[in-house]
Amino acid sequence: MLEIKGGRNETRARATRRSFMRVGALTLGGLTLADVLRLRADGAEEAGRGAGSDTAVIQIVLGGGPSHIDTYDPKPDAPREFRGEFAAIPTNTPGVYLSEMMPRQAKIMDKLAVVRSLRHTTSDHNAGMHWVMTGFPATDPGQSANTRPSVGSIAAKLRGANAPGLPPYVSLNGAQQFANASYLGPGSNPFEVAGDPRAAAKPRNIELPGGLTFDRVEDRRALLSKLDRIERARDAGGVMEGMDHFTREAYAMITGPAARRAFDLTQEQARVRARYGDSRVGQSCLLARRLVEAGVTFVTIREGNWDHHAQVFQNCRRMLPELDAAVASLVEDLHERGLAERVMLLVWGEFGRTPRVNGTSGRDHWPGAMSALVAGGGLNMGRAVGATTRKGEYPVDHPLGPEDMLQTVYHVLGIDPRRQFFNEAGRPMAVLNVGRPIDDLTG
Amino acid sequence: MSRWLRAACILVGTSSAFAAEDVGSGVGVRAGGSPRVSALSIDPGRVLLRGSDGRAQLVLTGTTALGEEVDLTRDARVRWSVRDVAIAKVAAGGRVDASADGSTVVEARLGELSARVEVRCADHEDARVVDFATEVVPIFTKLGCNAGACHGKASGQNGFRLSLLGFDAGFDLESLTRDGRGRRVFPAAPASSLVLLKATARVPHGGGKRFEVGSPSFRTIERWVAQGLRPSSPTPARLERIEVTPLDRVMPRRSGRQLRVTAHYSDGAALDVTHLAQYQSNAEDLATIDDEARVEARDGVGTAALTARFGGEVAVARVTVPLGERVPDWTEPASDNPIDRLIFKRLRTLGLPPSGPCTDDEFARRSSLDLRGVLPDPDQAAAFVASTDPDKRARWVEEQLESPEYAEFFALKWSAILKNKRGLGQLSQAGTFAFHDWVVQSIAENKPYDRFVAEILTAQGDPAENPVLGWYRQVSTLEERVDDTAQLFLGLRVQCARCHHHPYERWSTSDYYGFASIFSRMTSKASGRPLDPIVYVRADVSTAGYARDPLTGVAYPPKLLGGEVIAASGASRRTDDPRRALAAWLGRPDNPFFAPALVNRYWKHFFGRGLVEPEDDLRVTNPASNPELLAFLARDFAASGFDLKALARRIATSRAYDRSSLPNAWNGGDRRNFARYYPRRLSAEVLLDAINQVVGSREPFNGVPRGFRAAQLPDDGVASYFLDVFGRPKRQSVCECERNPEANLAQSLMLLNSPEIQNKLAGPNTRVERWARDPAGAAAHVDELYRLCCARPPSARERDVCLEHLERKRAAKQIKQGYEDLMWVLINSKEFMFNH
Repeated sequence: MLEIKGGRNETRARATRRSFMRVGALTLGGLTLADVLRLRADGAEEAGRGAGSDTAVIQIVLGGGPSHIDTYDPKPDAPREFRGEFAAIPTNTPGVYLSEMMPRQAKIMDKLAVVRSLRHTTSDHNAGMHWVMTGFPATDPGQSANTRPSVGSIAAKLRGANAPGLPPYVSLNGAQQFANASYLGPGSNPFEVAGDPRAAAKPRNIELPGGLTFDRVEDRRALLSKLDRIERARDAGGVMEGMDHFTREAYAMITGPAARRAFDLTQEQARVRARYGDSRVGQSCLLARRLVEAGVTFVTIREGNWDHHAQVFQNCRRMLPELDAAVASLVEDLHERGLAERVMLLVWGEFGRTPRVNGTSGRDHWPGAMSALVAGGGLNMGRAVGATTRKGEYPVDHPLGPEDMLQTVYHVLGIDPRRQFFNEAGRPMAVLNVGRPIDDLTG
Repeated sequence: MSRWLRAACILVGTSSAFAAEDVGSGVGVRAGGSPRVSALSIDPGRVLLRGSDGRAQLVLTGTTALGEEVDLTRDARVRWSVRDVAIAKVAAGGRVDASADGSTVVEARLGELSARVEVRCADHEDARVVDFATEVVPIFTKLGCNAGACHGKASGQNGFRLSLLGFDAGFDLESLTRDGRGRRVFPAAPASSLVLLKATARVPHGGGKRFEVGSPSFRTIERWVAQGLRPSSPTPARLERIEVTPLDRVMPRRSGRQLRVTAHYSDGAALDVTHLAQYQSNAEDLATIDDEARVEARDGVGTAALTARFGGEVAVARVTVPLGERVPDWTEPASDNPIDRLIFKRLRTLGLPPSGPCTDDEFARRSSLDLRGVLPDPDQAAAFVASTDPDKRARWVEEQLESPEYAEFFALKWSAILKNKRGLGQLSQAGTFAFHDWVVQSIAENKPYDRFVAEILTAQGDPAENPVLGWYRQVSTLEERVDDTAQLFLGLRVQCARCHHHPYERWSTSDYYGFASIFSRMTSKASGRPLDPIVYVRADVSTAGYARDPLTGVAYPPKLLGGEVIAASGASRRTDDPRRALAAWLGRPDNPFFAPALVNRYWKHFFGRGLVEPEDDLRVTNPASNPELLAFLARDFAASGFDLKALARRIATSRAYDRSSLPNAWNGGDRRNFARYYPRRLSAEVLLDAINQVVGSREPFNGVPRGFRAAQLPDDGVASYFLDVFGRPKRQSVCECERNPEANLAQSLMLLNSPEIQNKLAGPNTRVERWARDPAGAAAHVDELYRLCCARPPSARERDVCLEHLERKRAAKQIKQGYEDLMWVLINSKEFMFNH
């Protein structure tokens, strides 16, 4: 058989092969201001070719690993000890069924897609989460930090923010495991919003600290410009200029309206806030929508503990309605605001859970099958991609991995996964050199 | 000698240089203002072109009356011609292509001057059998097909996989001829083989068009297919080495020069492979090199190494690019420190005048930060500045070296690259503290470096009694032990050789697993404390204890990198431990890696840039910017008995180290020759400590005694957002580059607008509070503020600006705020944040 796919990427491939070598070389010596600006220009140049120029991604990470059978891959025909307590309900897309705990998403299935043939090979939380967040399994089960950059960090580095005065990459509900930048440097780490968005949580250091007023900030700034006079020419490496550049950006963020407005949920009408649900995940989704609307490129939301070794049904009854309302409201809202093509939503955890219910009415770790929910981003909706066996144990055929899902995300973001960066050992590392975009979604 | 070559090897002819008959009225060739060219010569002296694809690059050099050389290969005024156009063709730029068997002469003419070279073409009928390994595989390498980003990666690309960079020709043969049901080659119609259809983009190819139909590379592969896909020629000539010429040249800035690469084969043949080799420059700001080996000198000043690779062999040429401008006379600063002789000699060669000496203020601050990681005490610094002792800088350095902060600061550096950390709780915290203490203690007592490393590498027993086992605890896999030992202590990055031959170096998988066998018998048993097992070496000298290459299953006996196989010590199976041989080898005079790796690491510590960059990647293809200096420092260090303090003293008391960071009119762009001091942002821990030092606050770290400074923390297990945004390493990498110096937005937000900083400034018991209570002393307080933060008194203008602000705030009854603001401004100034 001759392969005829891939030809359409030809011109882009050639342009980026040049640029990724350059980017790689820069990362060795540290980024100067000129490099930062050039990278932005590169990103813009690439984005200007169409796909991905202003796209954004909202990722909801269901840490601990949610049960696929009880959510997006119900198995009504399986024996009771597999199918669990929840019935399957039809959706507005013929032939696609969801768990009865997802009634609102079922009503808008034409605006959603579930990917059911995901699987990988590690039942370790850390290794699985690193895989989902980066496309690569962790190299060491005990590792606590990224050994590859997270997908959000790659987006921050190569795409930057969609609008000035906003951070490119935001993590809601506090620090997330493996959401960091590794060898891309801390500049591509997420802006973390600690705490519950219902309590007006903001990213660090954007709100004025207690005791400061805008007048005083301006006063200090004027004083700084008079006294911060060491010759920048001393630093041919350009780090001083880089700091000056980020200082200006930081002031734009602190004193300008864009960031403060974006993070301010009180700007939303009560009706809208209520629609997402008075839950942390609901308000996080609303905040995420505000952020991508304002110009943030990648928002990741860590939600809940889904490690239900015991009482999985009881826990799902408690947690799923909030998630269902949040996800459905977010997708509806994105459509109503005309953002659905531009913004991709991805909901997943680090693995699925054992199809057979255990002795404590729970389900244990199961990487053999897991589901992801996808919406928007210009992808094909109203479908279930792939299927698992009758008991939900493994994909029936064409198994997909986290790397394929992330290839799809890079496709939406217009990022060439072949771009390379050098890691600390001087080895060229591609953004993602395994997997391929999921045809059923992108085709 | 093979038959084909014997036929081809009737090499006669010499290149001749013809002097111009009339130098005075000859063509006025001026390159970079140099005098007129009076003679031309062509390199090489004779040319053999083999096969219909035979191609060679000529280099045309002009010599001026003063003996200067000018590369004229691509000079547009040169007319290239060939005597018998039926035999060979020559193109502008000096590229010769074979047309038919026979010999002819190529001539280059420039006005009245000319030079000639005899060219002999053989085997134009291509009757010779193409050798897969030495002729086909290099094509894939040259064109990037087998690069890690394409078919060379472990998973291949769209089902087609090649060995990375062509180090395994057998694999590539299999992949091309058998995998994919043999669909990639089509002997019945060779030109329609899938591999050629793809490479010429006649069918869609993700990698695009790599060559044209009918190009030399195309024809070589086509012929190999037509000849029946033979694994090798019947009489293969082994590639023995490649040679790049010219080897070492001075080039003016913004000038060009042509290089040539010759492959030498085991049967004596020497063939031009300039168009087949791959090139890389280690300093693109100085000199770049294109696919055809054309070097372009850029704006930078210094020496660049240009690496040529072909068929797994490597050769390096150096070009030195001087500033080339008229500069005022300058004299070397008086010094008996050998560092200075070598640094200033180099600057002399480059025509790059160094900056003058820094002020005493700057020196006190700079050396205190570099040797102790803290700002100098203002009173001590003032006394130092006031002293008239001619030896005061040496004395000051000595005081820094004898301070407790010296050991803590260097322990911070070492602990990070020794990866000391408690992790996610799977490692005992007590062990983390104990190993850190051991490092501090070792540095405080100035333990000889070879012993320091030997103790780490040969550690065994119960971690409760031997805290140095902390290293093996964290560096826990066999591969990590090999990689870290090589990179950290020998400056060698051998990770690549775990799976494939190192692309730029001599290390093969057998070197890797031989070195691994030094560690392969290490194991552990329960100690009663689950987090701290007892470590020991299995008494097993049979091959069962050897490390194995997982891809081939071959086991290798323990072997030093680039050295000998370690024989089992006959004394006793129980005491036999190849790690001891490794430890003994470190300090031996014939160890070419150990001392250079350390002195380069320390040089970078003080100058912000290694003589070799990255500092732990020492290899032939990445030479030092000042090789004599690296050699001297290594010799000196070894001769001192690996005395780390002596090395620090040697560097910190040099005139090179006390140059001002302020550029003069010529050295502003210098980033590699040490013509001035290069400012660096204070590292995360040092910056946080400095802020607390000037504010008079304490950092509220969890889990350590009150008053602990950031530089005293044993690992990254103590949470600090400040330290993280300023690039504190996660201690996952053996490379110091994990400590990230880049600027980013979160840092600016932290310094400009964080509660952390604001609360420090507004907090109780700070200098700010004390100053605010003393309304009469404003001028003195401003003076103290500057001496604290910048180690100098304020200028008159700075004093005025500060006093004016204080006056305004006093009038508004906000004097404390006034001092907070000034402290904030100083903390946010680059002069504070940088060591300069």
